[in-house]
Amino acid sequence: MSNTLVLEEASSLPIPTGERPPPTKSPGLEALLAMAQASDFADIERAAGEGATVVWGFIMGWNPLFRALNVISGEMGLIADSIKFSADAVSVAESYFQIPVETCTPVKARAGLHHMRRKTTNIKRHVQFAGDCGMSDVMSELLRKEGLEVYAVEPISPFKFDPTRRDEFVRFYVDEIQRLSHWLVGKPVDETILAAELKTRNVVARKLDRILELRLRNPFHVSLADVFLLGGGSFDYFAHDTNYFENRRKYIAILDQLIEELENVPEADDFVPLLKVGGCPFCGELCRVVDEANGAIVGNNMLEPALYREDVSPVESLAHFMLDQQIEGRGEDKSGGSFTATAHHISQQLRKTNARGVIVTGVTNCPYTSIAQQYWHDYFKKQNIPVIVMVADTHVKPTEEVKMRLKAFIEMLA
Amino acid sequence: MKISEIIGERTWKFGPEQPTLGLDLGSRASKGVLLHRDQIYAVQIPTGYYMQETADELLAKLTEKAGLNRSDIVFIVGTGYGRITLKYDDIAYKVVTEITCHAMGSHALYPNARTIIDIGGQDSKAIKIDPTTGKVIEFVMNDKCAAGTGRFLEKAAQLLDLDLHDLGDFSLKATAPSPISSQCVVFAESEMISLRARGQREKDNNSLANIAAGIHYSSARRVKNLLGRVGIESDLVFSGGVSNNPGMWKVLEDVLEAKFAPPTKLDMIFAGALGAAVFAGRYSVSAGQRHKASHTHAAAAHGEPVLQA
Amino acid sequence: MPHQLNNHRNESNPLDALQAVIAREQKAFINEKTGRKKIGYLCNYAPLELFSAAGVRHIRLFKAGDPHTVNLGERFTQSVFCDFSKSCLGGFSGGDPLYKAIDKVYTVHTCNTVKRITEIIDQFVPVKLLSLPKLRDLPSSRHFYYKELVDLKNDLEKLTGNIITEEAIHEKIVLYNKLRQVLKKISELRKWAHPPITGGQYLDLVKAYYYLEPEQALKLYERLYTKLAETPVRRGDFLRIMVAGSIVADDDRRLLDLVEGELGARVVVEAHCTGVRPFLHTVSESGDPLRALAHGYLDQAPCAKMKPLSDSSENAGKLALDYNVDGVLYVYLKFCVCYGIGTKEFITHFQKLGLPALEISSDYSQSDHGQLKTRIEAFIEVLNERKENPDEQYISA
Repeated sequence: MSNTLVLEEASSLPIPTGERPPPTKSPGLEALLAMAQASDFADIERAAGEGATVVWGFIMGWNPLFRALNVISGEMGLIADSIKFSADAVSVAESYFQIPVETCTPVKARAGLHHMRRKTTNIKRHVQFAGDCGMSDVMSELLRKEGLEVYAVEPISPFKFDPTRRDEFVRFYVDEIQRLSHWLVGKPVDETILAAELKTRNVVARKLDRILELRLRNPFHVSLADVFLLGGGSFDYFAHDTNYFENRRKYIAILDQLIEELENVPEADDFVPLLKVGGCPFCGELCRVVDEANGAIVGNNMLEPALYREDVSPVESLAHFMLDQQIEGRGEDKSGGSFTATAHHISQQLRKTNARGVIVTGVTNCPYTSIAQQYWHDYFKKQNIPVIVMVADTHVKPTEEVKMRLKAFIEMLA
Repeated sequence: MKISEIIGERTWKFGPEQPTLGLDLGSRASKGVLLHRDQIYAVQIPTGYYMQETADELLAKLTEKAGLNRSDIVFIVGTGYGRITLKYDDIAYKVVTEITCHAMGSHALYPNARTIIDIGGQDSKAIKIDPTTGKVIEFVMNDKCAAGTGRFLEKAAQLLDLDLHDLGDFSLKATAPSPISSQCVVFAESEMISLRARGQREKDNNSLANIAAGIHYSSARRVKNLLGRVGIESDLVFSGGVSNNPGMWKVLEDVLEAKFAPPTKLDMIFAGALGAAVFAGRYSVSAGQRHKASHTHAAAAHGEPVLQA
Repeated sequence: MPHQLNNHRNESNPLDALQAVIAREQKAFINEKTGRKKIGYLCNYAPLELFSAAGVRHIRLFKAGDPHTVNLGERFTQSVFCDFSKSCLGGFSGGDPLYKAIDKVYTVHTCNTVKRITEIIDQFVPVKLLSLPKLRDLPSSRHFYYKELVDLKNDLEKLTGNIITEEAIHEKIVLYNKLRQVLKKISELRKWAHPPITGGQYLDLVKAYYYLEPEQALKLYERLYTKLAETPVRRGDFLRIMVAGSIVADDDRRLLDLVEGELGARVVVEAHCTGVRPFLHTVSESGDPLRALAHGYLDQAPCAKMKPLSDSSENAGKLALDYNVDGVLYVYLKFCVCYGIGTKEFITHFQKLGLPALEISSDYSQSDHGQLKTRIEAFIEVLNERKENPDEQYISA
């Protein structure tokens, strides 16, 4: 028996990654990028100085209310700046605020930045959903002594939701919405305007849903990062201070254009479909790693086009939306929902997208991440679905090890 | 050399028709393996400041050993710690993670391998592989913490005034391994220092060996925890720089209550580069097939080169 | 182990006896097979009156457990959770007999940590989570808490198969008011210059409130109070300390042993939820008893998760002044959200009141005894110096 090469056997060997299809141009995305860059929402301080109603904080799922009241949330800009000035802000948080070092960076950085800007900012009010992660919630209490007026929205904490109490809970949230409107602008929300906002939002949600669906054929034409940029125009998690990039007609036209492009772009067949679940936006570096490994994230639980009910009054619709968000575990910890419910939700996504594996992401030093990731990991492992758990600091670039682990995971699924 | 000198009379199905290269660029040592039919060549050099230069040096040394020219190499796969930002205008090139490469390299050398424990200078990994394909089934890594990695042993060697590669031999002389309880290298250091001081005070000639052994046991316990997450199934393969440490070998077999597959003539430090070379072979085959296919369809859609450097 | 000091040999007898009763009752809880439901709760915002009126046997789950238990819990939470919550999960997953004996757990969304572990506890035993509104001054929030209590009552009725009458609730309100009153009075004995009990002894006797049947506890406490109040008044110049911050588990005495045992100071009052703080309020004995419970429990000296945070710091400050303390030990569990992040609020307030305060981050590991001792020793020295030279200015610790 000689050691001769057996070519046929060699060809049955697995190879770690396939070949990427050549990149395709997307006029729709180019238009979107131009629109996002031109959108002037960054200058909210000036807007506040000129009399616009601008507040810090946001309420997951109630962005249409803000739009209907013409209120701008500065939180997105604050988060971006907190990343830019992270080192200083964290230092301030740990020294001036005595916030324990083991607290997550996003909370420390925001706290520090608030303190650093307390004398120069025009934005003096902060709205806090008290069902938000405890760190953000208690941190907002510290802001009261930084010259900010802090307003809290009361949460319900539904776990094993009792449907017979839905009406009661909806009425509670309706009251909270009215109370919030009064605090924000001194009067109740105009329901006609709110209804129109919900309708637009649903139109956009359906189109975004279609885009996400079409991405299953070819996830490279509109990448994950592009999807988040898209969401930045309309989605609660990203869009608290944007308003469809100030031009909703154009924004919707871009969505339509993208849908048409995606319907006609050739199918890509050789990629590893993956789900991404959990907090922490998947930063550019990690997106790139996924691309290089010929993976594609075809589903995630941060950007989900859930619809607002249009068969009830708009304020009730907002109330129902918040409640359902919590019951179904959507909206991460920002909506104060149930993470065990999220697992079922992800399972549905898995079936819908045929993803081969789940990337569970989370922020370093985040207790929600800590317990939810462990739970989801065990949950999927039991079903023999490959899971990788990644914890990253939102304010720091991911390390080579982290990137390598992710790549190896995708190679494993190829 | 001929592959039969390493694996004996077993069929070798990992030798490509055209020569391919696997480069494993580590933080300290860089390894290269050249595969061509039933030939295998392996070279190791210290990693220089510039990755590209190190890689080029490996390429040059390997082609020289094999009596080949650079232009004979059809595909290179790079792997290793850190971003492999190599550039080859004239040779097709791809990057594959060291986990996947290690698995394949181990599989090539040990066809029945199911569990690999790889302990390097910076991290430790446990990898489960499918013995029919060499594919990774599951893996866990410890990359946050020095305990259980080569760095821990290095620190210990420093404190005991020993050469790292003597540390293992020294530990084999232990009569009663000192219990080092700390989970963390930083605290273990203090423990080691006090143990050493006590040994000197009590004029215990064997204390250094016992401390050395204690460190090995402490390390091995961490490794055992890591392995516990994927489960130990034989054949069990020990790879990575630390696998050259005879002390660690013995202690691990003791703590894991399992035996490692015996070493082959090819040092396991080349496992990653070997796996990379195997993948390079595979890529060159599939690229060749696709190249043929795209030429068949004359109206090529892209007009772009199929192989991407 | 109950805390004992050699120079209180006479007083320690009834205290020792109480510890023996507590131990016996814990066993009784485990072994009881009468068919009566046994429930556990974690938080002071769960009205015990309602549990008693429902006829269930109830205990508070607040054991620190051992490192192994904490480790077991960590498998679910990983690292960034307080050791108390890990212990709780470890108790369930490790099959602690006390935890195993429980038929149902009631948790309250006071802090997010408890809310999160609720979802895991559900894997071991049925759990019901109650919402807790944080805006105590808002009528809608009060009403919502009342509705949660109505829901709790309905749930208890389903669990037991018994109807809970208004009379039964009212009866228990009267009973628990007496309990809170006597516990407050016992605590106030520590206002004496030479307190008849130590802080450790107070925490230990408070355990009876959480482990015993209320009627039994009341009898024992009233007898205990009489005995303690008879203690001859002596001169004393102990350093008077308030401990504020996170929950102190039922067997977490490391700090107290250090402060009172090794360093000879006295903890005379607590601004945390396993000391005297839960006993400072009364529930109205007139009107709709469920509404009375809602108001009463919302009005209690608050947990730092309630809003605004300044309510908690101000309440703690008031307690400190009322008990004439020399200094405050602000102790928060690592990863405790409200007391960890709220540190500055509390410390600043204490300093504003002229109270030196030392901030300590703690956990259930045994590894930091040396560091802890050094810090607290230094703090105690500063306090002693202040006491001896009240006119001189000192920078607080």
